Amino acid sequence: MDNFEPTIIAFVCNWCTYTAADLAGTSRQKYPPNVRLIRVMCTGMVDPKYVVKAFLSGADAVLVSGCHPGDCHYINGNYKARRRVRLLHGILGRFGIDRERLRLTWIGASDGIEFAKVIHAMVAEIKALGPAVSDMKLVI
Amino acid sequence: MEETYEIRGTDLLDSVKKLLTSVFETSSVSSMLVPVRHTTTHVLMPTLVSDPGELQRADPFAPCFPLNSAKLVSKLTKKHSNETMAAVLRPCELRALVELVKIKQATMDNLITISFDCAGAWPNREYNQAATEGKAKNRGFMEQRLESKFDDETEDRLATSCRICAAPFPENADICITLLDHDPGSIGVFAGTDRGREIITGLAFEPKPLPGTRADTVRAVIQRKKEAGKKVFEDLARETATMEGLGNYLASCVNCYNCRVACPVCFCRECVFNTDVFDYEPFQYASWAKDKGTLRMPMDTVFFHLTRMIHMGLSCVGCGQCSNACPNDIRLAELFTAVGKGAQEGFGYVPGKSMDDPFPLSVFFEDEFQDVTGI
Ligand code: SF4
Ligand code: SF4
Ligand code: FES
Repeated sequence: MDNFEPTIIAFVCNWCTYTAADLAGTSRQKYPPNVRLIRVMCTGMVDPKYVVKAFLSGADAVLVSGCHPGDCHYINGNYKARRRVRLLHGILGRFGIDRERLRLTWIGASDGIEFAKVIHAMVAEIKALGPAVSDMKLVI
Repeated sequence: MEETYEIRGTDLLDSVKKLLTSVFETSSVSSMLVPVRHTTTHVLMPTLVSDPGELQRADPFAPCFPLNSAKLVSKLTKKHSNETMAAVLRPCELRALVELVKIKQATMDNLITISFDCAGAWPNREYNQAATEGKAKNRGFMEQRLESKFDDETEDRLATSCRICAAPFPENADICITLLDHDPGSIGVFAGTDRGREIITGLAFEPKPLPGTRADTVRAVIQRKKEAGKKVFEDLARETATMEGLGNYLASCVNCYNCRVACPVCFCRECVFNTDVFDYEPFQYASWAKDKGTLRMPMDTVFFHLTRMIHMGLSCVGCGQCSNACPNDIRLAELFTAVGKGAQEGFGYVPGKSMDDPFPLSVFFEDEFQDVTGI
């Protein structure tokens, strides 16, 4: 499992975490290339189906990251996201997709360093956990 | 203490018909939805009765549960009407109806709900087979169940969903009918709501306390069913502990979506799985097959079921109609009930319990579920 490179799909809010990721890049904060960023306008638009589809397409972990409580540009999208992620934890957890594999974080636009830190930590932990699904062919 | 009444007829069905007829006559009900025996076949279907005389063929107690009537009540009540309607529903049908009312797909404004101690039902296939062979024992089924005090060990045809249903008693119906522990042939009635109280006090039945042993009997039934459920859920958790396990569990699914149609709380007007989103181009299939080496078809089966869980898991009332609907005998009711229960507990939500509990995904607060975030 030493050379297992996890794939992480990150749904990041345009107004905060996406900007933070950009900032991390421009300020030469290095973070592992395992993460694929998908920019969304708000965490409130992350349909739980997107998360499920990511896992069913072979993602080993999913990150949903948006604005801190009180900072959502659409007022409460992040609170809706929080309930949806809670629901997903409850459902996917039963099928071996534990909550370590589906994370919700709040990372503000100026938190480039925090973003790089989160990705580092997540990649290391998912590497230790191994692939989310060992035989995708059985997941019909 | 809620006032209770007793109705004594020549047998159970006679007693319940007495009740239904007098509700019909005294509450200016214009129609009543109730399972009615077809005149020439064995079939028992929910039927909208507007002539009280036809209640003679009503039979809510047979082990026959062709569909969850909450969906029918939704059809009947989604627009306002000045006429009063009544519906005789199993407890799980009433729970599903409450869920539909919350999302405005039905109303109870002019609806009188009537529910009863539910003895469970057989799987549709089983019932139809028995009925065609003349062995359906419609009459006598409830009597036997009452005699055994709803002991499921003595009723081996019961659907699994009914065997593990921990809420088979009427609670929040306007009119709640009690059967357990009454003298043979007689039934009890109490009101589960204010509206119910008004109706029942107008009916001129004899006030009589419920049998003193009833509370204990009910508790024992629930306890036994919870234990049966625990066992089923443990086995299921083992079988579906991984995504591969879930894939195996659903391996024979042909994406017919019958389970979705049968589910009373699958609420989307148009299912996304029927839209263009999932209508792929031939070249896409080909390229996926190349990527993976094989492509099981029809595809998106696990995706479909997980999506259903996300959409309606919080509202799953454990009625078992999904299992009834599956042409390939996939044990869906166990799966959805277990997943639903887990999801519901995460929000402290009990579907169908009260109109005052909002559907968990329809509300959100600033200071909640802090433990969901973080890394
Ligand atoms: S998922 Fe199955 S058991 Fe649950 S409400 Fe729908 S039909 Fe009933
Ligand atoms: S009814 Fe059975 S075969 Fe049809 S979609 Fe549901 S699980 Fe699949
Ligand atoms: S705008 Fe960033 S989470 Fe809503």
